Amino acid sequence: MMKVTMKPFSLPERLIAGKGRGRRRGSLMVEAAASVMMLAIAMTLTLKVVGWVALEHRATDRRQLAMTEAANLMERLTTTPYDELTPDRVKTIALSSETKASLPDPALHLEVNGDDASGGKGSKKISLRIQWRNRADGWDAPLRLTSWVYRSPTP
Amino acid sequence: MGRPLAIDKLGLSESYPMRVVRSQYGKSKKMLTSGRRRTRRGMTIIELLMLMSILAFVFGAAIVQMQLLMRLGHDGRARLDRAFAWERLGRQFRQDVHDATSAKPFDAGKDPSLRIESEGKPSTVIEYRFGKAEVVRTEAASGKKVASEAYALTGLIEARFEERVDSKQPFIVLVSKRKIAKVNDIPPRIEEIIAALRPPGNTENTSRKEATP
Repeated sequence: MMKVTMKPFSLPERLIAGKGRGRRRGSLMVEAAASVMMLAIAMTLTLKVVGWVALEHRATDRRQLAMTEAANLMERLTTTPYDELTPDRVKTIALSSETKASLPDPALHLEVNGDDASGGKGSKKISLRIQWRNRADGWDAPLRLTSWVYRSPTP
Repeated sequence: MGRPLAIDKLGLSESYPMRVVRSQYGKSKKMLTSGRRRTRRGMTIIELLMLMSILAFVFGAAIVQMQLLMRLGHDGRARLDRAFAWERLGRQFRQDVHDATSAKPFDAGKDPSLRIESEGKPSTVIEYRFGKAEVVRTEAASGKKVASEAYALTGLIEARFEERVDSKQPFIVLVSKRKIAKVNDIPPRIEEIIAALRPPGNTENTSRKEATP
């Protein structure tokens, strides 16, 4: 009978208390290191995205400033008397000091074409283009605005 | 011999009759399972503390990141709203000044305003007023208020109205000063909306004609 009672203690090792104690040690640190690494990658990506968004904001801000400036210049040009609106006259027009200070290396191109084909006889086409430099020192996409003025009918 | 027991998996039932095994271990299935549970090592308090601190750090960093992204989204929306409001204000302001017979800026200390009058049927009086980070336009026809619109311009510090003359042509200018960054090192930006006013004696308004060449 004694033999019989001893037999069940030859259980597999994994079921005996204390035998596999050392196997799990250190797993927590590996898990922690993995989670911290993943978090670091996620944070790096987020910072990159923040950087891109900031660049986009700046670009949008510059474009909006250029749009306001173009609208103001066109307002002045279109109210200039028809006969005074000449290519020589528009050469004297310059960008405002605020725009010069806010846009990197801005350039203004103004053209006045009399009796233009698109406007017909007795018209003047005013073309305005504002450009500025980007980070790579190239030109950003220019902002264009075109308007036509017509000779007032003689009473 | 009846249904198989967990103890059969250990090969005990083959060597010994089930009765014997049962007499040795009683409710064998339950006992062996609980015996197996006892072999698992628990976590020490140090490990638990470490785990909790790592989880706290991970959650904290995730919350900070989420806040940053939410603020980014909020800033983007605010910029977009401001850009739309500025665009609408520009169009409306020019339209009102072009149609006006007279426009008079008032600079009453911290509350500058512009009064635009146009003769017609009915005669209208439009008033632009600088409010808290906004420009408010109020329209009255025949002495009764008919419309009021607020143009919310985020970061607006000041807005005033000026009269200018360029080559005999009078202009009304809306000058706005706005904060473009949260840091104080960057100076505020001054932006203008220029609108041509009908010169005295000219009955034709300055609105640009539709492009119908």
